Amino acid sequence: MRTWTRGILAVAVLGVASGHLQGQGVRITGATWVQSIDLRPWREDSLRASDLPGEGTTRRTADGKLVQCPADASFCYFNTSGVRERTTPLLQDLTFAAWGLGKGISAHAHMRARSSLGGADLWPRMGDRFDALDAYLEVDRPRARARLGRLWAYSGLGTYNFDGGSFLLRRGVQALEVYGGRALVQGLNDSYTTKLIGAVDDIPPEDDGILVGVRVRTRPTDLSSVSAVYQRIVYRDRSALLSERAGLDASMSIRNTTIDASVAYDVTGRALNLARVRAARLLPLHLEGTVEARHRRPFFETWTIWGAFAPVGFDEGRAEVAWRAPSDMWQLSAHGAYRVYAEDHTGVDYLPLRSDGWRTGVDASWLPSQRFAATVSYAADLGFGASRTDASVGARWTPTPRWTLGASATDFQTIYEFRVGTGRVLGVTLDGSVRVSEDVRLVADGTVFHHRLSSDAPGTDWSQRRASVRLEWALGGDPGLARGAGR
Amino acid sequence: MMRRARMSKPRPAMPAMPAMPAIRSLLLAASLVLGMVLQFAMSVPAAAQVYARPAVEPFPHKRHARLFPTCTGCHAGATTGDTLAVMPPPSLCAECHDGTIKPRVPYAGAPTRHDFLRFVHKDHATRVDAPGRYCQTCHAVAPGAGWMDVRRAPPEICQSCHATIATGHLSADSRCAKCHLAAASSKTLTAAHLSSLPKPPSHNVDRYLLKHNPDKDTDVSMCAICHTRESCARCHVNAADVKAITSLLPDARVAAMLRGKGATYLTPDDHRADSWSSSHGRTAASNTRRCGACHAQPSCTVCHTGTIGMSVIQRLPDGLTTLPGVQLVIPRRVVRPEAPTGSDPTSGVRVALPHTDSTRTVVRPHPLGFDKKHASASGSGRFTCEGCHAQRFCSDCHAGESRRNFHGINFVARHARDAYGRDIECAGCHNAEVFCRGCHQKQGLARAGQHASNYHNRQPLWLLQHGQAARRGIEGCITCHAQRDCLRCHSQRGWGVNPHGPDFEASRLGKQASTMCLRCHLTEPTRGRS
Repeated sequence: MRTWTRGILAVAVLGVASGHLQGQGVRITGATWVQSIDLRPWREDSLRASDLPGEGTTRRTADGKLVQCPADASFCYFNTSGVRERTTPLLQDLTFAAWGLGKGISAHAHMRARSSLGGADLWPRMGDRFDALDAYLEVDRPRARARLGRLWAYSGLGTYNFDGGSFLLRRGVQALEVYGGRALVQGLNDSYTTKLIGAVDDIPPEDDGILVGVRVRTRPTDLSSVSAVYQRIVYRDRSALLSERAGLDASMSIRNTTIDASVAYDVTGRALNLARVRAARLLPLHLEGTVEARHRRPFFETWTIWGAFAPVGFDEGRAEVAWRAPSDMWQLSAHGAYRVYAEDHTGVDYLPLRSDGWRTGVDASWLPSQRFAATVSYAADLGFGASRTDASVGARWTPTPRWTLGASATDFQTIYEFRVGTGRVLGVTLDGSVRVSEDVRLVADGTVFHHRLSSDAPGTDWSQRRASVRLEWALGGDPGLARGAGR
Repeated sequence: MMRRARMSKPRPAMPAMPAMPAIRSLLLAASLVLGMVLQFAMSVPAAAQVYARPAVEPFPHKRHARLFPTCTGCHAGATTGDTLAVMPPPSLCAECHDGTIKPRVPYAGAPTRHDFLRFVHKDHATRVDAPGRYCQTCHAVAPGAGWMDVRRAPPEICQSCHATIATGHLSADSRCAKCHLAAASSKTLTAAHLSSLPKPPSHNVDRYLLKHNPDKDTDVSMCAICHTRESCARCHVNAADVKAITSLLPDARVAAMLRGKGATYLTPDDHRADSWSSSHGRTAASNTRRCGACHAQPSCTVCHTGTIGMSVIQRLPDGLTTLPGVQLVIPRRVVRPEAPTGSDPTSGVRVALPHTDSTRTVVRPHPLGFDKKHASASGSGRFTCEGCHAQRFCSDCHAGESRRNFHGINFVARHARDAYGRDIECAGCHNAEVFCRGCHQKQGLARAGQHASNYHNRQPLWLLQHGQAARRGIEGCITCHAQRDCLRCHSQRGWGVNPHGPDFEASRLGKQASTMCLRCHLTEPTRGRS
């Protein structure tokens, strides 16, 4: 029996079992998402070296195409657009919640299955047929909460999931949580020894990891809160660390100003990954201003070599002003950010890369009624190594609570770069949804992208068509009486 | 004898009017239309409604002034206390208006006197010097008015003598219970009467429903003049628990009148504050009764699925009855076109609540753009996420491929900008090796061999620049490159090019993560172990 089949069966068994346990409620939700994507993957091609003018390892064809000519090789190689291929990935999510099994006892599961309905196997993780994103039993009392199973640890350090347990103790406005278990790779929901990493990197982690963490939080006042977290992941044989991190998050409101601050520190690499403070204030004339200062440096676990490659971060200042009409019909905002990268101690003087960058943009929303909304936005980035402009316009019409129709158009341009596809992309999207019943909704969308490469740019024609259909449904009640809406 | 006295001045019979039915009908119709137009054009002021008695034409006292020497001739009960004799019987009028002496009149007797007033004529009549002669003290249309130039006594006449500081009949300083009985205790008032009771000007102030708060017995007794228990229970969810409401009498007429009529709720100003979603817990704990005026438990449990706040929530009515209450609704998520800076047209407005007031209110506990900026608020515990969200809510987005709850429709085409800008942490949800590189490789964007150089196009001297680029944006590199790509040069197995920066602490890192060292070094550089 396939793994994903076993998972779906497990959900069904849980549902049946909870009925026998006379649980007060069971809720199962599902989302079936089918996409159809036209891609023109690159393919490698070659030319005889003797047919190309010049010498050296990098040459240019008569039509401007850059090719690589390895020394002493009789052929030069280049990449070009392949034929159009269609991939049709299917994603099936199932969530399960049963409660009322006893005072404060509930069971939860979130399963995900992947498959392909045909076409090329181009979509990521299609080989990973089944995932249990979470599956745990919870006992929740006013003073404490315990969970056991496949869990998530959410904190300012990000989201980590693991197989183990967590215990949360509440005392008034204070809370203490300890958690630990077999670590799963962040963003992968699989153990460190999964073959998924081995498929894309020939130096995968050698062993599984063990995660332990502790988190405390308090609310000194109604409108302020502080939380600190410490977390480390070690190899199962405790031979080495995979990561050791600490974080601090704080938030407070003073009169009309809200201040958020976050710090994330890599204990292993002794590096400050994130230091950010943001203040937002309501201003006269229906304005709202936000300023933010941020230092960021990437974090890597030690199963990769990237942390030892001395990555540097940047310091950024950002400001945003938003205006909202008293009637809420109009909303306008503009933002700008400037960043400077840290000294990288490498490179050559006569080929410097830009070490700072700007990010700016404006947005406008028009909300003439609850049924209609329109947005338009423009953004421009100018940074080290690349520049980009991006414009978007969208509209949404909700003629009835059951129906929603939307359309949007996008135009973006990427220039002088070390990115893919120097050129302009124009995209048009139509989407709509219908709520068949209170618990069943059907959503569909379709997009066409047209890619125009710059005249002298080598690369591939990225033009493509995409469409998707999603069916969302729910069975059973909901402990929150919201019938699962938005939750 | 009295009748004779009144009849002591008989008038000669008037000649009969010629019959002009057509003209009369036309005139009547024209009057009717004119009346309707005037009524439409000039709405009747509230004060005038007090004295209006529907469908009963007032007796033309003045035209009979020469006929009647005393009031008690017709209104004997005003002095004797005989309530049935306060108004004359139809037979008394018919003595003249018999169709012969005078035309008949359609008087069928006075309507039943309402028992809505504490006023007793007899008590007041004893204070009149000459009984039946000085009724004009209260009933004269104006000071100095002629004999029988009278009207129904206005409430201000009562207030002019009785100890009160009221500035008007319906003024805020009026003490209604001084003269009026509770409406519910009246047996004569009909539903129509009750519904036409005038609305005091004090009730017309802006958002009065939010301000009315009778907390003293005197206040409640004033309310009871016009309102019954059903009036309050129409909106108040916790009506059964509020003494001010339970002290009112129930009334079937009002209940019938209000049946099917919806409740009205106004959103309090403090609910509109941006901080309300995070601060309402303490307010609710300290004054749960205030919440219970509009909210039953389902209002809370629409968000609060966990145990957070349950001790307070359970103090509210359970909402299992047919009681009214504000129905809070979480907006359903819909697919949205991607807007580059997070503008979400489906989020509508930034305020916590819309400016429209209704029973069904869509709540947006989080401000616009919260989905991209919630890290600090949730991480710090400012919002107790678990109080409202099950863990699956988080994993919906954070577990790799979202089912499009977070990113917009065409995000995949435009994701380079967000990824490159590091405004959002891709690695928080996606594994760069498997997710990013897996996709880039399959689509030919990633380096699968040494010949693919298109990514670094137009950079013929890329080799000299890649170090800088990698140190600043190595997260972008690894979405295509595997470790082995770099180790070809940057390892003892390769060309031995040192990738470490000047601040690299080899010995300390070697102790903590020796496995990482051995990926590049043939021996552990800090221990000499291979």
